[in-house]
Amino acid sequence: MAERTPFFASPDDVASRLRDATYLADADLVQVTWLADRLGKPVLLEGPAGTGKTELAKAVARAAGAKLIRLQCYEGLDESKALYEWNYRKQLLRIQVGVEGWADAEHDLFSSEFLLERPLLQALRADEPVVLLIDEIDRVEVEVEALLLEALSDFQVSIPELGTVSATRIPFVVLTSNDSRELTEALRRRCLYAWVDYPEAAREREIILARVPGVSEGLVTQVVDVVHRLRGLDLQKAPSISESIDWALTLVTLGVTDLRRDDLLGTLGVLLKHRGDLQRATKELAGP
Amino acid sequence: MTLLDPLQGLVADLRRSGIAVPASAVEDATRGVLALHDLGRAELRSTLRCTLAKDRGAQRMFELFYEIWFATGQLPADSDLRRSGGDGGGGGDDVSDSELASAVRDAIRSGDREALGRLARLVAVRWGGINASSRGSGALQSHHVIRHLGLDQLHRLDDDDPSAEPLDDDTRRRRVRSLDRFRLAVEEQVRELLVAVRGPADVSAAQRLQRVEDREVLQATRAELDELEAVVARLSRTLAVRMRRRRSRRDGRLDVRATLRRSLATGGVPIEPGFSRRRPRKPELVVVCDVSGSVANFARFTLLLAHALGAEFRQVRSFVFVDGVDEVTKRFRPGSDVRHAVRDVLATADTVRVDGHSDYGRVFNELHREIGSAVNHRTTVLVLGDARNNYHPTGEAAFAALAVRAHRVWWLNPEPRAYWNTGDSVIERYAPFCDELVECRTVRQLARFVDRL
Repeated sequence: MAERTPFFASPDDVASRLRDATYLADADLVQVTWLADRLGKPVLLEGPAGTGKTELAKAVARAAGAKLIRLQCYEGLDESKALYEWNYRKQLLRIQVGVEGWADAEHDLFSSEFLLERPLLQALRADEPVVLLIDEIDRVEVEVEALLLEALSDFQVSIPELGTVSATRIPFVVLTSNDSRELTEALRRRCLYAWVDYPEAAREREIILARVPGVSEGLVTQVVDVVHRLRGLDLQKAPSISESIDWALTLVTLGVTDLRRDDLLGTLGVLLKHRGDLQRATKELAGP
Repeated sequence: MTLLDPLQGLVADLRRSGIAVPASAVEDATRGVLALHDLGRAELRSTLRCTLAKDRGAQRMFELFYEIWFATGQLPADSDLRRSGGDGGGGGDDVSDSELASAVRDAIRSGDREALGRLARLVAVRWGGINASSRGSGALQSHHVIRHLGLDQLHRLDDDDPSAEPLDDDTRRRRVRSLDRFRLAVEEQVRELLVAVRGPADVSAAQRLQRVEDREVLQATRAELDELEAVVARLSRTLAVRMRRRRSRRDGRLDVRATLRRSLATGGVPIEPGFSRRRPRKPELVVVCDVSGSVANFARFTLLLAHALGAEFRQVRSFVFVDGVDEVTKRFRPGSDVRHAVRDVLATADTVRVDGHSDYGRVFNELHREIGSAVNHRTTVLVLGDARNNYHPTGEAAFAALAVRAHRVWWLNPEPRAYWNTGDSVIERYAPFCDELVECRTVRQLARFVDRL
């Protein structure tokens, strides 16, 4: 049976080590991370795009000195890309070369040499501490969710020719979803759940100050003001924290120290990526 | 363990509101609580929330029940009131009623969250009228407070200031948001006081909660309607995927070229056969929505869904009507934001010809004249309306003519079935021509129905 050795000693430990890894988490997220660590359960992070869900997994890996294994999900992802696949081409070549009997050949052909390990299997088999990031699971089909569930419940996988592969240590698993479809009940049951939303003004200021070197406090305040105003508008895609960081970085690179209307309107494209949104924002911000 | 009773109460309430909380979740919650380092309120809340409430709607309900079951149980002390005085830091007891009221209005205008929170507590204590004999879930008492402050009518806010310029859309929206936030804060405070006085079991028993998808659209509040928009957007994506998958099934015919091409990767040995996909036959959809009175809200979601799923249909034509028909298909161009388009449509469509009372007969005649020839065997006609005809002629002949030409006609009626054919509802006259006539009162029913398209 696989065991979980926790990365962190206490919620405060989580918060401070994440901060050292330049990820400022709010109290709720810290608590969920700590619980997941202690209980050995996966974490399901759901929320609008760009709010730091993927970043959390990376930060935990940095903070704990663990290896980050990433499975990027997309529509059409299947077992062979998620779990494992036999390297058919190599096997065919091997058959054409060898002259021994079938029994020896079979033993040879279905060995680890010809097994292509995909992220899930890699995570299960790893000897070192691992953070497994399953990114954008809402883009994947329901059948694949079932497959993942199986792997995430018992942390073992059966490969018909090789036998059952069990994990020696339970990885820290993070699943992210951009809330584009409803995930199955079974998956939710398996995980701890957290909704990651746009940050409050004070926290957003802290995050930008930590992430963007060389930015002045005055500029950060102006940036956060504008971003929060934009979020109050009825936009198709409101700017999230990753866009705020990009924008601050852009402004610093352009040498802007005090945000004027021209700078603002000129760089709005970093924040808003839809034409309708740009028009509305320009109308609102260029006003009085 | 003293936490066990409130936890059980909380779980029972969540289950009663339609949220599935399996035993494993309760077990996780307990293990989480045992592993807690310090039983601060925030940590306890986070722990319980992430183990018991596994989606956004559930989390919102969790917040509500958590407040009830794990409340601090303290009535406001006099010192509390004195400390949390008005903006000037003066004592709460010394502030007069009118000063408090105007402080609230100022806070709403400025959107100062901290002030709103503080003031919510004060007004709940002062005007909530909560004592040992209070009943209910707090809704009545909160409403009383809000009425007292005159906040149930937003324009009253601006009446006080005749010199103020007319507000633009975004300022108005911000004020509305502040107001909603204040209302929620007052409700929270009232509930807390009620729990302190009557105990959690009583208060939660009076709470009747439902997921927003199960709320009757005709009775939903403005905030719930906005939330429903997001729900519909998400539903449309799930449905689109399902519809697409259903349509592109494998045909069974071997596609020789694809198979040979794939076999190149395995040295000329065909291992993966390629099948030709059946070409998807997309239907054409004609949506006809009644936008009179309260049915307009339902029309909003139907139009949203129909156009969000636009890619799954060969063509979607939409019409809205009251006593005249207006085609609004052009407003839903591919690049535009569907939500704005729908709001636009509901605000500006030219649907009133005579007197603004529904006239289905006139509408169907007009419709038949305009698109009768365009309707063919590939068309699905979807009608949304309560068939309340104000005793006008029913125009069945025109409707029948359309129904005969179309592949299918479906009618969604947002009224409860018990009210059909009462008063001026003439749904039974149209029923014989419809392939399906369903009662459709919640967004969930709407989604289930669209799934079958």
